[in-house]
Amino acid sequence: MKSTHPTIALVGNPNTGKTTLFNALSGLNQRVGNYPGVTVETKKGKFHWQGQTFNVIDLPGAYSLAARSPDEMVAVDVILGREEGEAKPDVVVAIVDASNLERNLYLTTQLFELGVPVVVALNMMDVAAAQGITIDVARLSERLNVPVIPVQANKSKGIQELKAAVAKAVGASPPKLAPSFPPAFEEEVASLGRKLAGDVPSFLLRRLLIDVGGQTERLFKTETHNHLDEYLDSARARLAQAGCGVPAIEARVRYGWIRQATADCLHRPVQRPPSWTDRIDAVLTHRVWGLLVFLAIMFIVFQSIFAWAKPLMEAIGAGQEWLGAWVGAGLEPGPLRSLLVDGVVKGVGSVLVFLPQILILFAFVAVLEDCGYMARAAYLMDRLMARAGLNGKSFIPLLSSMACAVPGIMAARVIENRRDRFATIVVAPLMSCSARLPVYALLIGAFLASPEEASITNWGWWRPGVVLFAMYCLGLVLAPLVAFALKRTLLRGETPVFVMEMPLYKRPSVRIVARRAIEAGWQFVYRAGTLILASMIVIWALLYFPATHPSGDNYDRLLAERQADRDRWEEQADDLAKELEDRPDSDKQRQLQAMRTTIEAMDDEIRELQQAWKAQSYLGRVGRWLEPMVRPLGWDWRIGLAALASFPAREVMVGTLGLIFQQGEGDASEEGYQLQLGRRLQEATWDDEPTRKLFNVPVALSIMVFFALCCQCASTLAVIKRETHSWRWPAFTFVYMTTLAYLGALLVYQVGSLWSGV
Amino acid sequence: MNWQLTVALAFVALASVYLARRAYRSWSAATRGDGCGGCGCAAAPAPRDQSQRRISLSRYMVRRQQ
Amino acid sequence: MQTLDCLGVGQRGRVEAMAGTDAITQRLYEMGILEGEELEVIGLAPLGDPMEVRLRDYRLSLRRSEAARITVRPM
Repeated sequence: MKSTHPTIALVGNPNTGKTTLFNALSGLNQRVGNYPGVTVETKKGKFHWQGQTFNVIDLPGAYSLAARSPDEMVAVDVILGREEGEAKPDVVVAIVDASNLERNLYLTTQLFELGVPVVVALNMMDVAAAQGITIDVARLSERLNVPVIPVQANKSKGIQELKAAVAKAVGASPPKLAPSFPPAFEEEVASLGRKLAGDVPSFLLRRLLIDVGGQTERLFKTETHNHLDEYLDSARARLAQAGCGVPAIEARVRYGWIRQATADCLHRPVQRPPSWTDRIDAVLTHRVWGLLVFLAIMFIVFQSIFAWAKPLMEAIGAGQEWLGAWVGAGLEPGPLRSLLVDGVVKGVGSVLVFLPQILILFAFVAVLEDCGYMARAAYLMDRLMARAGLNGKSFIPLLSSMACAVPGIMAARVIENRRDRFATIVVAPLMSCSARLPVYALLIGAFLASPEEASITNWGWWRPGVVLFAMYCLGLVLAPLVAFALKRTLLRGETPVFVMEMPLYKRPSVRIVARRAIEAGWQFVYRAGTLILASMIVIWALLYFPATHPSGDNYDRLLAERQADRDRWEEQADDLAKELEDRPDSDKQRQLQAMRTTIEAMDDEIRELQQAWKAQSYLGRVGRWLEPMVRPLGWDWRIGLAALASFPAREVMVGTLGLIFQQGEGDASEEGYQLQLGRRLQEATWDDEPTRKLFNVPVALSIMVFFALCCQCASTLAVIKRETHSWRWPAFTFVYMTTLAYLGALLVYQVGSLWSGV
Repeated sequence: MNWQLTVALAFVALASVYLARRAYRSWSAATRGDGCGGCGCAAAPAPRDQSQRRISLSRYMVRRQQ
Repeated sequence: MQTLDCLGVGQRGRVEAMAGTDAITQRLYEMGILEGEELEVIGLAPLGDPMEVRLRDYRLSLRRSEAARITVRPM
């Protein structure tokens, strides 16, 4: 399985620009890979240097090779060549942050002991310079006895030099210098090696001795059965007696060695100049301002989702309308036309118009992730998460879930403890993901945005942002509460510790943000074209059939006839009106009035016919059967069935509402279907009380709360099953979230109705 | 009318098959799984049992000596 | 002699000792908290916990409960 091309592994601390360096090295020549049982993706790419091809593996960022979770073990396994189908790397590139040299070199000194040539890429020299830190690179290379190449990954500087150094290092001998442990320690390593027959690398022997309860211990325990536990205990006791107790001995030896090695090549200013990060952090992590800024950032995100998306949405809406008119004109009334116009163009189209909002949301999340704010959010929220029995790190998967719960749930893999990981996974879908955005945006746009609309109060322009923010906060507040309950019942356990580096702020890269937004936009379109399209077609069929009117005729044809009749009348009325403009005549005026009244009656008749058709369709029957259950939420059977239909995927809600409330309206308006759908919803009335509006503010809020809390996403459930290796957790998530959603919607509607007196 | 019905039903059948296949695949922990809205996780593979791809320690020792 | 969690914002101290041999202590060692190292408390989160500490050339946040393992001599 040995590849003929040399393999290069990139290793480094988190936040050292490792991924940027990887991108700079491999260009677009990359694919996402992943190792089994493990974390966050490991990327693979290629680069060429002087006619030779090199494979590059980007390993997850780590502070140390002392693996405490299976995820952290990946790096060790890959470098030692324990990965099936993966060649042992020929060279390890250690990415080192020049502004934080000592701590970064800790991992590098561990790499020296792996028997693989090491090249150090010294990144962020500019940041170091800004802090007044100077490094004598040539001397550092001499002291470490490995090539040290200064690079500036974000500006692609030093990449050619790094490639040349890597190519030269292939086949070279591994580093000869490394921190030396005290003789007492080395003796224990040797005798442990004798005890474990076979040629165990001394690196693993050291790890076995040092990492109390670590992954190496677990690994050897599963494969050897010679009373390893007792032996290790006694060995560690002997080490403590000899004055080199674990784990302190490793840090003392390595940091001592590093300090000596860097003594004459690392110069720090006596007085650290205050950095930008200091100034920004003085506000962002401030006890009072920090939280206010956090809330303000969130509000700006949500407000801009509304403000900036509108022009783009209108353009998409216009295209959709044109398409609908074109398909409608080319086909006779019939099932296929209905499917294409109602199911596909209106159904899928009403979801697709939210593309601009998805782009904006993802761009914002990418900016927050890229500039280093996520760590601050975790810091601000740690106390709250600790009350819930988790730590601040669990907050990062939750924030990621605001884009989508699936990567959020996968991001939880970095949480070491199984119980904490499961608790985070189970509450992550409570965070409002981007698939809820179309539902929120539609209802907020229709019922909570315009100040003239009769509502609880008139708040003005900032109301959409506030309401949307409140919806997101709902998840943000409930997720820790549910986690709290879980950690005291099903997943009982200690509150995990919180030790986290606060990285320096950096200016977010336009390329990364744009790439993230475009990828997300493409995913959204892809999903609309596959899952949502297929769902809409099936829902269309369930709402279309049976299409037989009690008279034995066909609803579709009957409706087309009535519509044609009505259009004829309308034409005549328009002609008459024009005639009247030229020659006023009171008789004809009265005639025109009568015609208008008839047209209105015909409109009502058409609407009734449509409603009767929907009500007797297969899905309509289910909806009406369901109605008693959703009535307390303020919903009628149509809303109930739209919510039911969106259980596989939330966006289907918007499409289904489009199908139900807009069917048969092919006539163009200046607004486009989306805005039109909002108006249709405003005009909709109850079946049994045609004068009573179906939707009002409490109903809209109740629907939104239901969507905020309900687990209507098959992908999320599938990924929970995958991550927990059990069907129980997805089942549990589904049940608790659906219950919570129903109760939440019930509460909001009942309280809201009482309050607003509707 | 009838040709329209035939084509429409064919679409519905196709859509149903697609949904069923998709549901089966994501549930049986296949490699594809894309999430809500527009996350870029469609290509993210499923975690598998670790022992499947890690070489055992004893085999590793043999490999090292070669 | 004090533990790190007793230091106020802006106060500095030199590490004297660290308690424990478990994974948390090991992580703290790896992050460079060693005997003789200088620490500065640079902030507290809104509810007074966790705390942000500067050491070597970077910033670390940790909870008071973990900070209590670290004995420091105030400077």
